[in-house]
Amino acid sequence: MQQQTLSKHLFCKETTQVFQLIPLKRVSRFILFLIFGVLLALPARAADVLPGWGSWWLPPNHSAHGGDIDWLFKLIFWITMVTFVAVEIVLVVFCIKYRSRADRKKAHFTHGNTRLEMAWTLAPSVILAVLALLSKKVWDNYRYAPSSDDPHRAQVLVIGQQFKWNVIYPGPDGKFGRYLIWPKPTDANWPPGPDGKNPMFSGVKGPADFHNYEKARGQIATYIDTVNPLGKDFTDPDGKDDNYQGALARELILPAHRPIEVQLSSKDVIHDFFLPNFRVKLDAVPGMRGHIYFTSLITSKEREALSKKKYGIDELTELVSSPSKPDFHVIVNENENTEGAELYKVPHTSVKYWRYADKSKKTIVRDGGSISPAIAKQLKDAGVKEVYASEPGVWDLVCEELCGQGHGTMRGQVTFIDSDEYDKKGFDAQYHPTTKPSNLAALGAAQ
Amino acid sequence: MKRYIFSTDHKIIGIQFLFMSLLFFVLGGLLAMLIRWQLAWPSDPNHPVPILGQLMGWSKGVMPPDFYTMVFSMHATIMIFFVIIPLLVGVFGNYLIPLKIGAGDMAFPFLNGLAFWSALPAGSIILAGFFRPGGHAAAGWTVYPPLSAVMQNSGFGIAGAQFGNVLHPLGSTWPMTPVIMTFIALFMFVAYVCAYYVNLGNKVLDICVSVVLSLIGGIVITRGVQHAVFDGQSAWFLSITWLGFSSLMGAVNYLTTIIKLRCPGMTMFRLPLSIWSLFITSLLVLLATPVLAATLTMNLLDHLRLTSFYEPFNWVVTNVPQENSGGGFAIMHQHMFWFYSHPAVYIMILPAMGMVSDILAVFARKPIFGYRPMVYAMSGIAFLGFIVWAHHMFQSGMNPTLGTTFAVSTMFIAVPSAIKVFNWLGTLWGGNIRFEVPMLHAIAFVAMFTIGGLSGIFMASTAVDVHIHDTYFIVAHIHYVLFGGSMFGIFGAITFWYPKMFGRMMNNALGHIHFWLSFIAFNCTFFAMHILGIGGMPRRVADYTSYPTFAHFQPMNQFISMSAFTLGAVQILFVINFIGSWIWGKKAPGNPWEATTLEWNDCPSPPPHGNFAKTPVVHHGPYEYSSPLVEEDWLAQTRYVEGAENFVVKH
Ligand code: HEM
Ligand SMILES: [Cu+2]
Ligand SMILES: [Cu+2]
Repeated sequence: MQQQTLSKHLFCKETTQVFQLIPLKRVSRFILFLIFGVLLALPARAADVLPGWGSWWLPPNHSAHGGDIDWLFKLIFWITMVTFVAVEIVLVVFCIKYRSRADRKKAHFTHGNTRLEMAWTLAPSVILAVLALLSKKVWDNYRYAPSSDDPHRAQVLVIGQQFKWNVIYPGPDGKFGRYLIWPKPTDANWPPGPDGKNPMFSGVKGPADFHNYEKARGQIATYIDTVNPLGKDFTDPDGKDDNYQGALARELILPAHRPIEVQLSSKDVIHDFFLPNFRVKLDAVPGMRGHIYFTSLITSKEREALSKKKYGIDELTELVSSPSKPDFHVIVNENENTEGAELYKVPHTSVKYWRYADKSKKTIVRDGGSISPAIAKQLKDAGVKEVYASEPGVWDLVCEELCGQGHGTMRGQVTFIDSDEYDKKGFDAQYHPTTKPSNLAALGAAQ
Repeated sequence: MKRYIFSTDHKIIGIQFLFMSLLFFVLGGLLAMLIRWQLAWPSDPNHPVPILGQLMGWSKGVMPPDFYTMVFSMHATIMIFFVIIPLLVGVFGNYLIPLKIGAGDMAFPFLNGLAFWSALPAGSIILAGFFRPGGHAAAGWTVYPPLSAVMQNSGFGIAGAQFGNVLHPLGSTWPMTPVIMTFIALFMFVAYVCAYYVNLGNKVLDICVSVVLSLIGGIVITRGVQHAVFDGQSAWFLSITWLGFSSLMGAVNYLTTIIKLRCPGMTMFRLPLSIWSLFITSLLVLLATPVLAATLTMNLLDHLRLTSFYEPFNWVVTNVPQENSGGGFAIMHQHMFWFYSHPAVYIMILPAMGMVSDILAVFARKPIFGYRPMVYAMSGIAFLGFIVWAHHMFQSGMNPTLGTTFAVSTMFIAVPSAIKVFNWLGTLWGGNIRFEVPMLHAIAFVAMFTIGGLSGIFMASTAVDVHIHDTYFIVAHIHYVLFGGSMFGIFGAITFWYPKMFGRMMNNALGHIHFWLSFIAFNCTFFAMHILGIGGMPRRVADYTSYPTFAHFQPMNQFISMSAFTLGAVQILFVINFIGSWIWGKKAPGNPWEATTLEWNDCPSPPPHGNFAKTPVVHHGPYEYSSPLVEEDWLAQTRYVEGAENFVVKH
């Protein structure tokens, strides 16, 4: 019954008329303008509520080869921009100029023009061929960098894992040992440890002793977890001096102003090593070893120094509470202090540091501490008017290849230190003056 | 029954495909809204996900990252495999080919129906994936192993598992909804075969036997699928492989039909460009899809831990050494996948290009500028399309010199694309342009495809790709070619052929409003993504604000999301127009657009079974608009005029 009336309504003449009436030109135009307005107002409101639209261009580049990439980017940008604007203008002009009008009965009758076809085939071909050649040059200079066999280069092995980056340095001999080798459920012995002997683990000589595939697998997982998370082959002499302790999820420290070779691999799935500020990107693929070469033009200290500025407290509050949430660190020391700063001596110890304190003498923030909106407010309440601050000298290491549920959290950090300071750490001491004098001499000549 | 449901009439099959893909379009669109919600307010408890957040019982209504991963993986999968490809190839391939070449039906009508009825189970299996414990596939639409080889119910997809469990209280067996859905799809699949092959001489007996066979077939295959599909990822592999067979059946059919069934006088170079584009597309499907089937079969076997085609020795996941790992090569999948999927991106644009050419000529009242160069350009794209696949893998760790090789071929594939754009401009030049709704969409196609093609050049350069690979720049590119290009082309085609398909005119005002709003919202949504990509913002990351480098992009992401919500909402107008016009629309005349091709001139709207009352005879090319030889500004392909053909050749 109800259905019948519904269908009657659906198909009755009035509804049909209402639906077909919409074409009234003026009404539709009015509605169109109305919705245009709403459409523009909505996003504009979003933009309004949240100040700051972020950067609209390439992030700053700090690597030696990155300049060429940016140059090529800009070249392609301008070529495509000109083409884009030209095509769209022609399109719009044609649409206006050749719109149908009462006084024109027919269009211009033509099926084409061979010369024009030739022209617009050849012109893009030539431009694109040139772009291909330029790309090859820049690309080869990056992937087959001249520094790839530079004995002066610093090497590091980065192993991706869900969801962290593990970092291994080759140690004084400049050679990596073998990694990513795991026991199998059928192995009679656990792999030898650093002493060269096969250890007992979980009360047995080897996984095979469990006589149970699933149990062996479970125990191997525990073994990997607790004994050898990166599958290091302890019998490999090259690996004896590797800087491997603390490799798990540690910060990547690299020398600036010196060629770097990053070797990449992965423990589980494909990850991607991306340093946006250094124009470096390569997948870390399980079962493969990738190589990329680059040179940083800046140390973290230099970056901090470059970004160091005196900020009014209100300006700083606004900056740190803006959506871009820049990570500012306060600087207070002998040279850079402002009203309200003090050198604090921890009672009964020899420890002292520069700080800002509130009225009850509690520390708000000390030298090098990062500034949150809350801290900025406390500083203001304590009467501080200006502070020195800088951006931290670390750069993001981004995993750029989907690698599972925690993919978005797979963030690493890179710090660049002075080359001499790096040598002192012994991460990679083949270039240390005391271990390889001959190499250095050769390099001195080459540089 | 045989007439409307199990029909072998190409027009009905086309319309069946149309409804299937439009439904999937709604689902894919809703998933897109979820993605944009997350990116506007990443994990922000002040902006809980509406409805779903509560339904799922997420803490504070915040979307967990693995759910986000599942959502964007399935958005891409559904839009690419169940919306764009079926819309272009399934719908318009079916509907247009016989009508435009003057044939009564396809060369193999039964096979044609089978293509639809086998696409349906693929669709129901992909939907069933959502109901699996562990949630649906979450390895991206590119399903790179080893990630895609990881079982989802072993420590993966915790929130996804919740999702599966909400719909699926029993834990290990399939819940009833997807089982019934899959069963119905398979029942229909078998029933379709029975409807044509069970022929015992007695109608009642035939029906009984068919029903019994379909029941048995449906149950047996559903049980089989239930065993093979134990998590979302396996559902994905099975479904897409299955869909590949459907594509192949279609392709074989289209090729044969176009080669064999052209009506008298319809030479290859008198075919409309839409038919040329479908011809070339079918060749691509025929040559590329088997590779996809092979790839995904290997993927599925790897996922089942029966083989390790793509997993190397010493492969562990969450510290557990994986069974059967060893001897495989992860990058091999990428080579094989892109060997299919790059030609597939042209499968997703060539038919749109062809149909847009048709529409432009009709409404500019002008012959296509450079018909033959257009055909050669499409052939060039098809050929080059097979030798550019590794441009998706520049940063994958493959040999850098190989990268250069593919950069060169990729640069050159932009040439035929440019030729096509210039020829479209040439078609508009000197025209007498009527701005009907299909024309607006076609012009938008040209404008938007230009942007997508130009952004491709950035990525074609190996060196520049270092910075923008896997950032939002790629997302901007794919949406300019696939939404700005293919989707606008599809909107144009639907509004253009709607009168022919349903015998009604679409509402003009609604059409205009829908177009302009979509066009503006589309650009607000996707243009800004170029800027995000240039800034390095990674795609497929649930919370970019955890990276100080990218946190400042939040306002722009909010702008994008707002625009995206608008874009989504505007599509409701299209739905209203589509359904409303069907019921209330004005009756369409045979040739409402004054077009020249056969479907408009030689049969009514909608065309009857068998299409043409008598076989048409063609006398000249498809685009004789504004010809000086006749009074009107259009000369139908079947209308004989003294000297017309010579005139065209000389001209
Ligand atoms: C002028 C022509 C084109 C060129 C030079 C080009 C170039 C490229 C390149 C180099 C990539 C890989 C970028 C990367 O991952 O780093 C890419 C990605 C892509 N292109 Fe194009 N493209 C063109 C046209 C098209 C067309 C017409 C379509 C589809 C209709 C398309 C769809 C896609 C898709 C879907 C992806 C991303 C796949 C993914 O990673 O998810 N492209 N394009
Ligand atoms: Cu990762
Ligand atoms: Cu491609």
